[in-house]
Order: sequence, then C-alpha cells, then structure tokens
Amino acid sequence: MASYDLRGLRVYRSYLTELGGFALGKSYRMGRELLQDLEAGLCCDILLMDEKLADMHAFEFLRRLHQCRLPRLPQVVMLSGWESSRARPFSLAADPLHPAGNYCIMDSYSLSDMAQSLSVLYDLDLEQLTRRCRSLCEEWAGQFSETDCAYLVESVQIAFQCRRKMAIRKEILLPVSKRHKVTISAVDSGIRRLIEASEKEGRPSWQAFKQSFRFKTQRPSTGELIYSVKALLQNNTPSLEEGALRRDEQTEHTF
Amino acid sequence: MSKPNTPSKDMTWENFPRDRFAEECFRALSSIKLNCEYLRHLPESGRDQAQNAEALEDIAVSSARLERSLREMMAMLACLQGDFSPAWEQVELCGLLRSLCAGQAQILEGLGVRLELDCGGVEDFYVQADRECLLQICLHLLSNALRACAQGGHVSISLSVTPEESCTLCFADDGCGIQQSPDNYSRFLGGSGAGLTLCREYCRLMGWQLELDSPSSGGTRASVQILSQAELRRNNPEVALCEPDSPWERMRQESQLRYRLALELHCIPGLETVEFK
Repeated sequence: MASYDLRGLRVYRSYLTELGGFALGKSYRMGRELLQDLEAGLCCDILLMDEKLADMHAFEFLRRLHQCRLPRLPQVVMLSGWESSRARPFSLAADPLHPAGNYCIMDSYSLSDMAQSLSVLYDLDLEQLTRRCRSLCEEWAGQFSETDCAYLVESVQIAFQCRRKMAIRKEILLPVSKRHKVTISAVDSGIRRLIEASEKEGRPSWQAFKQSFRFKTQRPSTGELIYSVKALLQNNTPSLEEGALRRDEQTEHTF
Repeated sequence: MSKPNTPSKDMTWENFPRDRFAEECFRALSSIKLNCEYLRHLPESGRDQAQNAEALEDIAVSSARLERSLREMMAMLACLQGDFSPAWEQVELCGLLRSLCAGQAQILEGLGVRLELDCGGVEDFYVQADRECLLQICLHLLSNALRACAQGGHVSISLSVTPEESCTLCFADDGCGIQQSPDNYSRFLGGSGAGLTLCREYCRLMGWQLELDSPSSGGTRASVQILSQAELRRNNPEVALCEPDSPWERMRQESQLRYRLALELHCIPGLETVEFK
C-alpha cells in the first residue's frame, strides 16, 4: 500500500487483515522507496495506492514503474479521490501509462466493495486480455475458432508474466497445451490457423500490424505473433529484438 | 487603503482553490465513513481493543481536518462575496501569543521542533484588530512554520514594538523555505492551500502588511506590520471599537483560542493525537 498519509491507509489494512485471505506487505509513504524495493525483488500482486505519495503523484509513480526492469508488473489499484474522479481521458494508443491494463481506479465508497473488487481483480487480467485479443482476431481474421483464439490469449498472457523472452514451445505453448489437454503442435497449429486466416483476409489492419512490426510481406511465425501482440497491447514500438526473436525461434524449431 | 469590501488581487474566484478544498473534504469524509463501516460491520469478538481505538482516533483526526477545511472555505467565500468587514476591538497581543505557545512541550515531543516566544520584554501590548482575523493569521503562520521544519528544527515568534506603538509580529523558522522543492512538496501535503491567501486578505482588510521571505541562512520569515492605534484612526476614521470584553466574554475567547489552536495543530502530521492542555 502507498500513500502520503499512512493514517488514511490504516482502515484498509485493518479491515483486510481481519477479513482474511489477503497477505499484506509494508505501507510506503515515498514512491521512490517502493520502486527501489520492487527493483530489489519485492514481489506483490497488487499495489493499493493513494493518488498522492509523499514525493510524487501516483501517475508519476506509474510512469517510473514502467521504466523499471521488473520480471512482472504488479497490478496498480489507485484509490479514487477528487482528481481521479475527473481523470484526464487516456488514449490507449498515445498514452504510455496505459499498457495492457495493469492499473485501474477504484472508488473508496465502502470497505466491503473494495475487498470484493480486489478479489475479482486477480481474475480480471485474463478477462481484459481475452477481450483485447479477441478484438484483434476479429479485426484481422474475421472468422476464427474460439479455441484457436483461446490458445493465442493464453500464450500472450504467459508472455506477459515474464520480462525476458521465453522459449516458445517449452515455456509458452507447453503450459497452454496441458491446460487444454492437447499437444504442443495442436496449440501451434491453432495459432498458425489464425495467422493464415488473417493472411487470407488481407485486411488493412493486419497489413498495418505486419508493417509496424516489420514483417513486410512475410507472415509472422507463432512466436513472433505472440510477442508482437504482447508489444501491441503494451503499446511498445517494435525493436531489433524482434529480429533476434526470429533467430531464437529458428534455434528452438531446430531443437 | 482599498475599500474593505473589495478583495485583493490574490483573492479571486479564478484563484479559489476548489480542487484542493474538495480533495481535503472528501478525503476526510471518506476516512470517517470507512472507519465507521469498519467499526460497524466486523464482529468485535477477537478484535483487539487497540484497533477500535485506532479507528475512533482516525475518525477524530479526519473530523478535525474536515472542520478546518470548511472554516477556511467559508472564510474565503466571505471575502470573495465582499461582505466581510473587520470587527475592531482591543486585543492584548502578548497574551494571545503566550496562549499560542502553550503547547511548546507537546510540540517538541511530537515533532522534535522547538517553539520559542520573544515579546521583547513587553508584558502586554494592545492592538486594534479583528480578533478572529488576527487569530487566523497567527494560526496559519505558526502552522506553516511548524510544517516546514524537520526534526530538530526551530520556530520563533517575536514581537517588536516601536516607540510610536506600531509593532512587527514575526514567525521565523529554519525549515525547508518557500521555494518549490521536493522537501517543500512533501512537507505541505494535505490542507487546502488557502492559508496564506487568507492571511494576506485579512492583513489587507486591517491595513497591515504581510511579508514573506527566505533569508540566505535558510528557512522562512513571515512578518506582519501592525498599525498603531493612532495610525489606524488616521487611515480609517470610521472604525468603531466593539464593546469592552466582559469576564464571561474573555473566558469564552480564551476557550475559543484553545479550541482553534488544537484544531490547527491537530492537522499537522505528528501532532494529530496530541492533547494540548
């Protein structure tokens, strides 16, 4: 938890402690200290945050959080106050504060609603990701299999959980295949079907996506699609790392 | 001297700190509401009595913040609406300053800041003032000085009287200064930000001068030049003094001062729960 006014956080802490089901960490006044501890390895699922910290605004904290090299970004929950209730509109395309939805604003109307919202938040990641990936599949491929879309969604979710580039088959496709009780090749084929359907449709949105990630006329591979969708949802610009991925993937396939 | 009912250029509707007022009020209300919910909804069995006491304490602290914000907001609105005029009376300034400093020991314990008063050897000194305005000015300047100081800091209140019987009231601290800085930002979180604007307006209404500066040695110095009675009558011949205080009224005023001082000091982080006697 973080706020310039630790006293104000006390009631949330007391309530969640007595309710049970939540493991509460330290409360921070300074955003700088919290960022240092996160970079040093502090693990948490959720950061419950006031709009104001003692040394910076919560939006400034979010900017700096995204500049940190963290294996996994915690979900930031900003307790709403006067400012955030009239929050500036965010443009998903333009605003670097809005990656794949790892922050949200929560109204502080009641403790019971807050506790319930936090519980739901653990499952909300997947729902948002599903919605966004599905929307991309609709834009690109038109018609597609729900199962193939689910393979892509879950693969992208796994990719989000780790900052480093993961081994596509062993670390991403394998867990998905186990979940669906199919082979790795089945998952791979499902994602390739999405790619082929998008190629066949040849829609401008698909072409633009390929161009922005430098695929040009080539169709992306499974791994390339997973990481490009991840980057798109994070609103990052493509980099030379995408080329490196291709070399890694070739090695993986060879294996 | 400008007309009493014409606000100064700092006191304008455009400068009205609506967002900060709203934030202060809603923050305090939210804390009160949530602490009440906490006390009401979870079963008491097994709960540590200390946690109940904490919740009640937080309600009290938030109530104080809310009251302070509302008082400041009403004061600003009265000035903006132009229907506020000073109610002149004789105020014994040294006694008022001694009352302000009555919580020196608690302030030292709570904040680690030393508060000192120097009336220049004068036992009592009367000024013509609106008592409420004078009190607000003193409370704001004292509060700002205490907030600016770190542990081990020093605040001094001094009064120097001229032979012509005007005087200068000074609040000096060795804190973070008035320039915008990270230290300054973190020390002045919370509050409506209306304090200095109100101080300036009250000074203007009474024909006084308020100056703020940061000496090269650091800290801040706030000086209020108070008119002598002769100067006041010269500048403002229509000033009519209120009726002299009755003993009852004097007791009431002392009680009000103690309450308002506690209210102001309880809004300073570190002094929220200190009992000022």
